[in-house]
Amino acid sequence: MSLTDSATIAALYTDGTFAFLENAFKFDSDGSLISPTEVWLYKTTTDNESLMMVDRLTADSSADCYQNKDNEGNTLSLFFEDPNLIDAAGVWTEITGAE
Amino acid sequence: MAYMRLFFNTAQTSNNNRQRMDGGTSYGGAWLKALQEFWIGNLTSATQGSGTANLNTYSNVNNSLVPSNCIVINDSEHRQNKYAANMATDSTSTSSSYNEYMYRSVQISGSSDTGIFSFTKRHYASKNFAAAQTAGVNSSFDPYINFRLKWTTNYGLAMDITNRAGSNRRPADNSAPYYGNNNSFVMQTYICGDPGMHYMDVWMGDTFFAFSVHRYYTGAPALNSNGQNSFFYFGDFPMIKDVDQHAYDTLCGSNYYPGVVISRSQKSDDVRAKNGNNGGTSGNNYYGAVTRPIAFTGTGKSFIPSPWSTAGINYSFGTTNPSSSYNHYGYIYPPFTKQITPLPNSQGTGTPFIPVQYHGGGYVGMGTSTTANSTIGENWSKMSHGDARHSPCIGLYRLADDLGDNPGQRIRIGSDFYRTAYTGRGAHSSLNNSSAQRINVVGMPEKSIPGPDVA
Repeated sequence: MSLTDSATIAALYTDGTFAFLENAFKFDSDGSLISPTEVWLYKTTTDNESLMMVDRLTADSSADCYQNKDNEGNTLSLFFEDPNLIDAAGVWTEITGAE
Repeated sequence: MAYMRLFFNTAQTSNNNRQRMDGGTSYGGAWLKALQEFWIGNLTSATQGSGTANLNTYSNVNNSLVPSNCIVINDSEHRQNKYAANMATDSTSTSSSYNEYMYRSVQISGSSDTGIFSFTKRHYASKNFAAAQTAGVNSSFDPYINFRLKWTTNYGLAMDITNRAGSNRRPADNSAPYYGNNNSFVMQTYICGDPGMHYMDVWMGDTFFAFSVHRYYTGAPALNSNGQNSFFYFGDFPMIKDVDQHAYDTLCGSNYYPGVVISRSQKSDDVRAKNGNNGGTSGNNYYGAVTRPIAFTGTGKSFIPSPWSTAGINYSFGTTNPSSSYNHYGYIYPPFTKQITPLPNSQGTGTPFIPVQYHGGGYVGMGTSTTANSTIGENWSKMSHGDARHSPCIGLYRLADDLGDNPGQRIRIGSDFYRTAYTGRGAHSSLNNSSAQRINVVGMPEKSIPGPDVA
C-alpha cells in the first residue's frame, strides 16, 4: 500500500514536517499539489532510536528515507519509492490516507 | 590531515576499462581502492613501497590513474587524533572493540555502472573515545554521520551524508537535480578517461574531511564552457558540552551532530580561468549547500535544515538579504559574494588566511511574528530564526581570490603546508551571474588539526 491522497501528501509539506524537502514537493500557482503523487509513509510512537535506523526499515540501500517528528512527537518515515518495509519489531504503522 | 591527490588517466579510451568498478580493483576501480586504503592508513605512497602501501602496484591502476602524477601524504604525523586512539578501519563491526576508531566501515563497492566509497565518521569528542570521557564528555554523547561518494555512468559523481539513522540525505537527495536530472548534475561526466586534465584532492583527519574535484577538456586554463569543479567539506564544530550534549540528549536526539556540510559546484566553466564566468545565469550550472543533519533554534526547537540551497545559489553563500522566507538557511563567513584581495607584505604580495565561520541564521534583521512558530527553523519568528549554533569551521580558510594557477597548489607558512581548493566563482552580489568572475579560493592544511579541548 502507499499514500496517494493528494491533500494528505501536501500536508506533509505545508504543516512543516517535511518542509525541508522543498524541491520534492511541487505545487501549481493555485497551491494544488503537482508532485509527488505517491509516497510511502510510516509512523511510530516509539522513542527507541535504534528502531528508526533506516537499515532496519528497508533492505534497499538505494531507497532514500526522510524522517522527522510530527506535532505530536511521533516519528514519521517518508519514502518516495516502496521500501518494502521490514519492521521486525512491529512498531511502525503505515499511513495510507487522512487520519 | 592526511592529504592525497588522485590524478586520473586521461589517455584511457576503453569505455569498459575506465567506467566499470567491479570489485574495486577491476577495470577502473583502483581509484576507489586508493580512497579506501588511503583512509584506513595503508596507502602511504604513490610510487614506492609494497602491497597496499604503494598505489603503483594496485591491480589495473593504470586503467584509471597515473600514479606518477598522484600525491600521497599519509604518515602518522598527518593522522593525529584529539581523543580517538585510532583513525580508521574498514571493519563494519559494531562491536565495542572498534569504539576507538574515528572512521568505521570504510568500504567500497562497485558494478558495471556504479562505484561507491563510504564510511561513518564520529565527532572528534564522541563518548566512544575513552579520552573524551576523561575530558568530561558524558557517556551518552555519540554523534556520527554516514558519508557516501557515489559514481554512476548515468549521472557522474556525487558526495553526500546522511544522519546517524541513515535518513535525510544531504546536500543531494533523489529529489534534487544533483541526482535526478542528468542535465543538471554537477560532476556528470566520467571521472576517468575523458580527455583533459582531471584530478581529485582529498583531505582527511579527525576534525574534517574534504574533496576538491576538477575536470577540464583542455590542459591550459581558458575561458570556455567545458570545465567542471566540485568542492565538498564536512567539518566538526569545537564541542561546547552544555550546548551540544543538551542538543543531543534533549532538543534534537541522537541524529544531532555538531558539524556542517559546505559544498559548492560549478559546471560549464573552466573555473581556473581568470576574469570570466561561462556558467552565466543558468541555475543548472551551479549547486551548493551549507547544511547540517539537524539543528535547533534560539527557542530550543529542533528542525531539519534544507538539504541544499535551492532558492538561488546566493543563499548560504551570499551577502544579499534572502528575504524572510529563507531565514533558516545556514551561512558561512566570509561569503563567496565578497571579494578577498591579495595581502601585501614586506616580501611582496601574499594572501590572507581568513578562518571560515559557520553562522546558523544569516538573515539580515529579524522576523516579524511576535511568537515562536512552527515553520521550518521558526522562519518568521521575531524571537528566533534559523540555526542558533555558530562555529568556526575547523581547518577551512578563505584565501585571496584568483590565487594560483590550479586548485590544489601548495602554500607554505613557516613549516606548515596548506593546499588550495577552488569552490567556484564569486565576488559579485549574485553568484550565478556572468559578472561573478573572481575565483573563490579556500585553503586547508596538510598538518593534522586535532579538535580543540571540549569547553
